[in-house]
Amino acid sequence: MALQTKRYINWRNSCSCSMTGVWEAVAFAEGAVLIFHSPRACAHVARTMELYSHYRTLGDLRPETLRPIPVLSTQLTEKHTIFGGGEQLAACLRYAAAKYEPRCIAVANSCVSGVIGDDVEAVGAELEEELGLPVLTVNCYGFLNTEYHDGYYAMTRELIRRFFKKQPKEKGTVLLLGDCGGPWGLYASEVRRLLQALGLKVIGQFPGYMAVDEMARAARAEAAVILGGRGALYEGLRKIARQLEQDYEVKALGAFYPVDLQQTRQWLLSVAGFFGKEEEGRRLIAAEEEKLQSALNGFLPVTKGQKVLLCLGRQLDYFDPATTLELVELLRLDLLGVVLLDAYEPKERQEVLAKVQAVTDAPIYDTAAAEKLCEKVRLVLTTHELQYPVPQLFLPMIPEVGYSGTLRLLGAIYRRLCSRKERGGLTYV
Amino acid sequence: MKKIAIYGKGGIGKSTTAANISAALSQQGLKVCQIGCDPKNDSTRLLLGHLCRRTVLDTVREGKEVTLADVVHSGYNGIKCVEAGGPEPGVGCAGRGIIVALEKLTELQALDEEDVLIYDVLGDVVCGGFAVPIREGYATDIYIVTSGELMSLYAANNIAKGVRRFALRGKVRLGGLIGNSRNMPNEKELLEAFARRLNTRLASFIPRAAVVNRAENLRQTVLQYAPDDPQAEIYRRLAARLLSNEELTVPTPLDFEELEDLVIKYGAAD
Repeated sequence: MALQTKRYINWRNSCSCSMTGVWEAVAFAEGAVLIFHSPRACAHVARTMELYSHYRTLGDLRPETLRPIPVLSTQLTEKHTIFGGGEQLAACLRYAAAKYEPRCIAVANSCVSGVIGDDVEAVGAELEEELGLPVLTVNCYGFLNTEYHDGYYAMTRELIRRFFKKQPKEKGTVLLLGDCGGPWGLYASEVRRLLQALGLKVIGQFPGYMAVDEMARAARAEAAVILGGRGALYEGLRKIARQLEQDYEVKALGAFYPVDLQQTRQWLLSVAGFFGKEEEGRRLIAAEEEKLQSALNGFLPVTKGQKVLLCLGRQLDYFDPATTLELVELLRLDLLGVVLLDAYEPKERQEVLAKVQAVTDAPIYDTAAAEKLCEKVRLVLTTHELQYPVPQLFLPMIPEVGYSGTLRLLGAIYRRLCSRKERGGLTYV
Repeated sequence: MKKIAIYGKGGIGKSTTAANISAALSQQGLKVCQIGCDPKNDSTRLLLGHLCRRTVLDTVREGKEVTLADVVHSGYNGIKCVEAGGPEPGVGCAGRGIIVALEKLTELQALDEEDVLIYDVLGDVVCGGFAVPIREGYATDIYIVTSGELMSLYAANNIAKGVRRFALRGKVRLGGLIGNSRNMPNEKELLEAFARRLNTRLASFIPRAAVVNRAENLRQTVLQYAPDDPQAEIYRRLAARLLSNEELTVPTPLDFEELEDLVIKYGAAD
């Protein structure tokens, strides 16, 4: 049976900590120091995120090349909850300035500082004057009606406000906007590879991975390419891109993303068109698709006609079934059906159903039918871990990007089908 | 042990009333402790003859080990005086301070031997911290000081809502209203009617008297400054009533329109 977990929350309700978002916006911004204005334990969330990110990077065999910035905690205690944490924050800012001699200090606020009403902005302004360096504060407090993305976007806006300056444009330059696993991640790597293949120069990835001193010249980029997926969560990045366009004349290129073959083609043509490189764009697409076809020719003898089942339980905001169904078709797999798992609310289920039916004639099943169907297939492609003894391939949370991403997923399915069926278990891509 | 909490709108005379009640009870030979639950730190001023020089939260701020001698001060007639203390206005969380201060006192077993504990609690029930004396059973008999002014009654009614919430699940009860006169027309009648609507009674109606201000200016209670004054007798009778009061009730707060109608009814009779 499928996992029994169901979601009873939606993303609009605060369910993540804004401090981690603030941290991510400056995580590798050389010259910055981050202070968590929080109890000591809150700093743990950033540590955990950092570790996850680190291991993901290691897992992809893409070593990090930047050093994370120092992160301090004001270590609020009972005493500060009563008398206020302002003095403690001031002391921590002085300490950070003396120890690290940073170019700026960013402050991320916890729930505690929000509940007791610390005037963080006033403390920041006062210490900025005293220390003679920018102290960046944002109006987000832990989980208090804000979440990860609020902190990320608020600090990003603050970085732009403080450090960006209008610049003469440097021809053929691009600024990557967003995170998606950082510069070492597959997403940014692939986007960078494709842009470079078009003869464009990526001047940096903002925020999070650009040194404070470089930010003043970031607006020399002709265009900003938004790294993102789909859904409302990325609206914040689009807003920031629009802000860069309006205030710094950096053209926003982010109407769609290179997350499947069709969109990758469109994306490449769009970017190439903006820079007047239409011909280079068409040539690049042809070359990339030739490489893809060549790889497919090697996969097809194994994959063609193999029976597979697709099990879906992820929201459309995070996952487009059409992308996976495109892979099924490319590998000429025999899709036995699509199971819509119990993880959906009724309205979501309707939406996913419509989306699936728009791109495939394969029969649609409920969770109840999954177990028997699993016995009939060679491989299950799934968004959720299933507790059946059948080979499963866990579809990635972050969409695979560009030609490399598509090839990676095709290769993963191919390799899974190369192994013996008796070897069940789950493969993460 | 009698555990009393005095609530009421800010500036209505809670601390003055509480200090005079404490003084009156001590004159009966009872061991009394008054605990100021207000960051202003002025509840026990009339008993100590000065502002309390060291509050419970001062010791927390300093991070030192707290001892009884640090935080329990001896005031008029041997009354024990404790001030919770708290942050400066506009910073920190005074409500959290009250919680911590009362927990510290419990840890120290500072109040175990008293006959009467009187908690003098800041203004309205402004947050969970200030409800702690009611919620955690530190006090069981709640009295609300109020005048006949609408906003004072409004605050009293809100406090009654807080008392009701906790009364329904614990031992806390409303002991009555203490009318602190502002010399309004029909004020006593209004307060009596309001008390009836709240399912309680007017424990005392304290007339406005200049002697109270004179005593306050000299940092004394009326019972110390003018023990033979009729006002001192009023406080004595109130103290005796609080001590013997067994008519403790679960209040039935009004909605705001009812409260307005009540005030208009008695105000219009002027």
